[in-house]
Amino acid sequence: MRILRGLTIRQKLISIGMLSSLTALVAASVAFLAFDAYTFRQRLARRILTEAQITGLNSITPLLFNDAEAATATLGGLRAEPAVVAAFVLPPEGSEPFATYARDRGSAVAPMVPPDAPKEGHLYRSDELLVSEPIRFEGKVIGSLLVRADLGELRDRQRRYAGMVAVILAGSLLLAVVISRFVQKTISRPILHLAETARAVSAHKDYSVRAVAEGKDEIGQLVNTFNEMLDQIAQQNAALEEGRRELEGRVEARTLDLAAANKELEAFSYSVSHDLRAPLRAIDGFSKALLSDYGPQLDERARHYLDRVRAGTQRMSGLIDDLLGLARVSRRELVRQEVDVSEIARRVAAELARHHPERAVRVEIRDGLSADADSHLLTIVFENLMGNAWKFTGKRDDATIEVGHEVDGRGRAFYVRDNGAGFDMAYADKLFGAFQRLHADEDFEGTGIGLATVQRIVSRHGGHIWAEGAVDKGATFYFTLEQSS
Amino acid sequence: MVRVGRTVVALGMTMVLTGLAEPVEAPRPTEYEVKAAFLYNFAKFVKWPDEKGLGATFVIAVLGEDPFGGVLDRTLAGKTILDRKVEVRRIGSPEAGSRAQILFVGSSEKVRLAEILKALQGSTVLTVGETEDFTDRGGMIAFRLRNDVVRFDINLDQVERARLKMSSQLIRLAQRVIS
Repeated sequence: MRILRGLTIRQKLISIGMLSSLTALVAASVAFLAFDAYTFRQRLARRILTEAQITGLNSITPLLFNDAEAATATLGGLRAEPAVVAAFVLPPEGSEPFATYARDRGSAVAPMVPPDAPKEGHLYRSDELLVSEPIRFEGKVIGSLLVRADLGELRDRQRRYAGMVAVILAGSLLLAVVISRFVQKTISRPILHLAETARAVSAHKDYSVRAVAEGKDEIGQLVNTFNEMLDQIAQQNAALEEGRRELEGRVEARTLDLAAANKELEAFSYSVSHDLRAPLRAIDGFSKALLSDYGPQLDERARHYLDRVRAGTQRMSGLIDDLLGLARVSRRELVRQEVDVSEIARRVAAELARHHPERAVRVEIRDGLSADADSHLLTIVFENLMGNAWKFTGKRDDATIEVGHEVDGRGRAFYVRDNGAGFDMAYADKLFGAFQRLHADEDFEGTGIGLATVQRIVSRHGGHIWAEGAVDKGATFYFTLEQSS
Repeated sequence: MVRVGRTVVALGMTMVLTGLAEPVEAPRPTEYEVKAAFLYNFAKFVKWPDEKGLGATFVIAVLGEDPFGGVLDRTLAGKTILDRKVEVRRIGSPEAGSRAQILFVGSSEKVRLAEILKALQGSTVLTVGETEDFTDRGGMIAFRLRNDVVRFDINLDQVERARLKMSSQLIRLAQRVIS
């Protein structure tokens, strides 16, 4: 049956039809041939036995009067029966035949009396028939007649029959093919139709297509079940679509709510920051005036307090600037374009060097980095990350900052690496929260807003940011600018 | 004494000898043993017109000089034909022969054969002789030797004239048939 597996249903059905008829025909032919051979043998045995009986009767007087010539002449009568190969008149004792007949007189080999011949009746050997008929006279056995017949006639007959059977087989098979071709359609057509429909449904995702059931048999039921399944799929699809739409609506509403809340919050923090400036400027201005105008009247202690007030106001001003920066980063519209990332990093490095001429920092920036990003916001990202790197390498003589990118299967990440103070990976998740600081103000100044701003920008670009590092082993900040694939 | 063919051992004597002693490695039968057996076998293939009117015995008579010696008596001892015991008679006159069923005419009677046959006219006797011209001269069956094998001629004319009926199975074995 393995042979059938690779065929189409149509071919399978035709093959099955042919195979069935072939089997039936061959079985019938074999049975017919076997039965014919059996009846032929029976008939031949009866025929030869009759001949033997007649010849036996005619052999009585030749035996009684010891006339071998007459006995031979009598045996000659068997020539009428072509199946008889040889015949012998045998005396009751002794094996020397009294008279012999041979069909093929020219044959060099004289016919032999088979030693295993039956005493009376017939015996079939592989290719010949032996018939033995006792010759009786007045109740006494005076001899016997032994006839050997061959089965050449049977063989001829079977050869003819085999030829006939072959012709009939060929004809029947041809007929079976023609009939199978017609009959198989009643089974294969609905199946092929169903398969075609299923293919159409699968290819075009069109669940409204329906197969047509042709009958009430199993295939018809299959078609109906298939259609019911399509109905169910269509219904489920509709339900899913409805659910999706509802969910989308809900998400949209939430997003709008969230955006409104966010805007409110941003507006609030912006106005708070902005409004805090004026009183702060007053504190700073008047404390400065106080110091310059009444400095000499004030004692050392008072002047120190005033210096502390001024330092506090300046720090607060920086904080407000950063907060306003963060708010602006959130409010500003994103303008993406092809930007030269290497160039941005180089400008930021030059600016840092200009501000801190006392520092000797080795900055290595990979050439040819570019990205589809907002140029202004990306500059803020590098200002913060490289500024941090500059700041946290402050206690090292061989300060090095490295800017580059790494590409893997999921996308491309830019990085800023330094060999500075580093951080404990246990606090890695705290790095990007606003006002979160891992270092004491005495060691490294800062507001704790820079990385929050960077994360904001990165996430607005659809990317994400993460950091690796160890205490005193430096830190590496990675960020991507688009959704990783 | 003429030696006959080897096959005769088993065959010619079979009918005669079965029922007697078992012929264990029987000696080769002599010419007259064969002829004696033939005389007996002839009776099986001939029908006499008045078989019911036969006497108490079936008579085989030998006319003239007996060439069989004791062979004929030995061969036919205890045999029956037509349910009658076979009786062998040796006779001198042809008239005595007319009461027999089979009359063997010895070669000593060659000279007066015509006379003998004439005497038997009207009787139902099967005449058997062994001179060469026996059948030509009116005898019914004549023994003859052919290649040392005993054969016979038949004068069917004479057989029918004596109202005897002879089986065709016997007739076809005759070397020569006069009719």
